[in-house]
Amino acid sequence: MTVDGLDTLIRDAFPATDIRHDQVQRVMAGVFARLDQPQPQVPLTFWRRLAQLASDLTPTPQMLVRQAMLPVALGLALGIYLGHMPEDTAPQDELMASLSDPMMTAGY
Amino acid sequence: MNDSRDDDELLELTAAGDRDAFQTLMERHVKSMLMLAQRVSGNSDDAEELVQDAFLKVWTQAPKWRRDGAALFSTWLYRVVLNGCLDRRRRPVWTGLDEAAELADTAPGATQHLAQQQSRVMIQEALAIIPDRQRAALYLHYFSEISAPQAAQVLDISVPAMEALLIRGKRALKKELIRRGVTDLGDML
Repeated sequence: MTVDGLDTLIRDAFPATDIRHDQVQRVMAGVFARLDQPQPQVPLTFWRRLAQLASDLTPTPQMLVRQAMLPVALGLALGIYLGHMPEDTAPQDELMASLSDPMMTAGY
Repeated sequence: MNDSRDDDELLELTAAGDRDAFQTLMERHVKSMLMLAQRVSGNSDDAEELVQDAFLKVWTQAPKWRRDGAALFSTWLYRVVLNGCLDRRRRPVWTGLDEAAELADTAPGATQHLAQQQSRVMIQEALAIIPDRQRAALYLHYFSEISAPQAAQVLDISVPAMEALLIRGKRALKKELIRRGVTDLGDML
């Protein structure tokens, strides 16, 4: 693309302007002033208050996890302990005796 | 004072609330952003406000900036300022014509200045009619100091696509200007 009439027209109409030091300072001061501005307060309506109360009463997911951690851990430990406990089984001969009991074989 | 820290380092510090780093970042880029905004908006007050908005966005978005991201910070900042300019230009705020009328005095160079102002208004009006993407490409081409590859990055397109967009934009702008009575614009590309 060669420099043509359009390029010349635009470059003549919009010459490169020097940005003054005071402009730079004004922009930066403006940015910091806007950063320091207090955030606008939203007026509290009835529904907003209610929503705020509900959110205060509802625990956050992190808190729920923290609160559930101890009971879950205790339950797990108890389950493991009970799972490994020796079974209270009847001696073999007693079992055989009971199977050969006339009461059990009645009807056969 | 020259600061050897790169933009990414300064952004990390800005994200942590370091105002000195933020100020250094602003000092580094404010001139080029003002230059673009001022030439697009035709008004230094609007340009200052646009650039302030862009830097406030930098402050709030700094924690989300990815150091390993493909884009340069300056590319992203150009995009923010350019989008701000395009949004604002959808509203009729350009005051060049009023200023031009006030300048009709007898001071030396006043006639030339007036002609320049009128040209500006006419070009801005013609630019306002062409599609946004073409206008954005023309703004970056004529009003910023960035290279063609960086301009393509600002618009998130490839360099050939940027060149094609520029050609279409120039053609549309020429057509509009000719319709307004401007002659001697060269061929229609």
